[in-house]
Amino acid sequence: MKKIIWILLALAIVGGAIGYYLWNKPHREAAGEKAVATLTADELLSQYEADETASNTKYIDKVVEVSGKVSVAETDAAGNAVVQLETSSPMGVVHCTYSPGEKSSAAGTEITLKGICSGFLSDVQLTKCSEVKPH
Amino acid sequence: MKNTILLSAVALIISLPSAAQKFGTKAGHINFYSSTKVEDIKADNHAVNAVLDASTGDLQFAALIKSFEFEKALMQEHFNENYMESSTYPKAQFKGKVNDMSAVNLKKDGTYPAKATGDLTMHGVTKNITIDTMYKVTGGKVSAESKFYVNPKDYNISIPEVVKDKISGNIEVTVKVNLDELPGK
Repeated sequence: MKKIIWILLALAIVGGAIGYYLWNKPHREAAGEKAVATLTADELLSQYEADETASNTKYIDKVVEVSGKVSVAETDAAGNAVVQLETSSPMGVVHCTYSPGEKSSAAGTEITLKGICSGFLSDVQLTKCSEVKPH
Repeated sequence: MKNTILLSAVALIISLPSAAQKFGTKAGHINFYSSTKVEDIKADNHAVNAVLDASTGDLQFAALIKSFEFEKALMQEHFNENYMESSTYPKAQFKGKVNDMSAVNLKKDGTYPAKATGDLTMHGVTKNITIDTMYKVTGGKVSAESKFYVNPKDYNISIPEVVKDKISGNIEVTVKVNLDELPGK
């Protein structure tokens, strides 16, 4: 009888710990994951402009490493850094929202960053971005 | 020489009224808020695209589902994987028209409420809806906002019995965009 109580208690503690962990599970960060592709902003956008469905299959919800020139650097209403990476397309850019606390380079800088791809409107959007430091 | 300057000035003045009828942004804000006795859930997206054509009243806004940020990572995961199935349906979009655009004067400071009717598409389902919208012009700067309610059921979003009490059937969606004049005609 006593044994059963101990087992139940142990299960309750483990269950509670798992629940607590899941509830406070940290957000994904692109920085900590391996990129499925390394490409330029121009390549990423032109792939999306050519075939959105195929590109979504390849990139959506996955980490990509993108390089390009910052055309706009700003801060969104949530306080996160946002940059637009220039492309040769007249319509679109690669729109990158940084993880909270991550700093972005200024407009005009050539950068490489990692981000999680959310898909395509007229721009390709990346979230949870952080810049990759040059080696 | 003088003639050329005069001519270009005249040409400029003539072309001005027809120029820049479109307003838009890539950094609009959509927030949704689901409130029940058990739990309040909210999420924000700051990368909303919006375009308003001041001459025709055509209004469009769109957001990527995966760009919504939740406070809790687990909620964000459930929202994307279980409810919105955002890898299959990555976008939400409203495409419609301001019903009475003549009552909205974007050239004059003021606040102009108007209704807009159009198609709201998300989770692969399109519904024709009419929403309240509001246009504000302050010092020549144009902004627009809208608040409307969405029932997940209408968009084939099934909510399991166990969490029914936690997710509202009347989710409040707020759209706020600062619109810049777009180049071109």
